[in-house]
Amino acid sequence: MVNIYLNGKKKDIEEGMNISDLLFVNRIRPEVVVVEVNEKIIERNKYKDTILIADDKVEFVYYMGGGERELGLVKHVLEFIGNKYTFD
Amino acid sequence: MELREDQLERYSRQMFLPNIGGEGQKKILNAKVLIIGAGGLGSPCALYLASAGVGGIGLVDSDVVELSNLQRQIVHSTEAVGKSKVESAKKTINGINPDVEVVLYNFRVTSQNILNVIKNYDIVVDGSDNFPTKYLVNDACVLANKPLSHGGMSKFDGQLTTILPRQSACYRCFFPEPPPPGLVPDSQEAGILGAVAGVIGTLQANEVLKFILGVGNLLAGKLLVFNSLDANFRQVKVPKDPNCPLCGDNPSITELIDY
Ligand SMILES: [Zn+2]
Repeated sequence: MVNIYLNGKKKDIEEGMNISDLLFVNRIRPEVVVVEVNEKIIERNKYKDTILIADDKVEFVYYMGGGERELGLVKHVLEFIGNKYTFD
Repeated sequence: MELREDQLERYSRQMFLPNIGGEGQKKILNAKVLIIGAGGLGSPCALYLASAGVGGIGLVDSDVVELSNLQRQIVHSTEAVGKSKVESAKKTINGINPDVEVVLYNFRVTSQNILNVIKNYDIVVDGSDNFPTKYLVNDACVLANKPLSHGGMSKFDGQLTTILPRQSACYRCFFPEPPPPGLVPDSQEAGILGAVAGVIGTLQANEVLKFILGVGNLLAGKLLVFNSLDANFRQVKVPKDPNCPLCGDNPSITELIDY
């Protein structure tokens, strides 16, 4: 096991893991994040070659919009909370 | 410009601060800030800037207030439902501080109009709700050399950075292109906690005030990431990218793009 820091939290990972592996085990699609290792942005085509070692500080930084678009939310929320009732 | 008696009283608590005083307060009163989006981020930001006495606030938004906005867009009230967001926000702002000159832009920014809108302001706040606008605002501010406070949020998380064009990293230094459509959920699927919008929008106001006053350290070259569930903040360093398509050494983007 190797101890790294993922988004500030200590995490044990298997030895020899690269960034693609780390994204895969965390079920994160590479398209939705930017990955920084030790304060350097890693280009996507280098993910497989970037093997993580002890004490690496890895940041997954997500795209964040405004959280505002909500057409449809009102229609979905009842379904979402488990109520069959719908309205328009 | 001399401060009036009521202004001395209104702003006394911040004028006591060593870095503000009368000179700092005058800087705030003379400042012009453009807020793009009178929503979750723009609401708290506008309220704190108005309270602090920012002399000119421009508001850009083409939407009307909906009931489902009120959970987080605290500049609007129940009676404003169905009315234009910029009108509603102006009413609240001037209710708090009648000295603020509020200029309304009741339309969407596009590549055609944005440069004309931002040119009158000292700094721009991005509180927009979608990636096409976020990229347009970033590109326009870099091309027009206008300082920008960028904010974003999703679910229980939020992030912000301050962009000093050509001095510190821009949004594209970090995220060179918008995410593929549909992969990054908007609140239709994701939802958002109103208090998270409050945290990020308030921090954007804080950055703007520091910029106006010239005090402290701006979040330039740093992305501040907030996670409300863990109640933790992380600063992620964002170096200026020499290969940035917008502000790098050989930029491929030299004019505005509507995505
Ligand atoms: Zn850049």
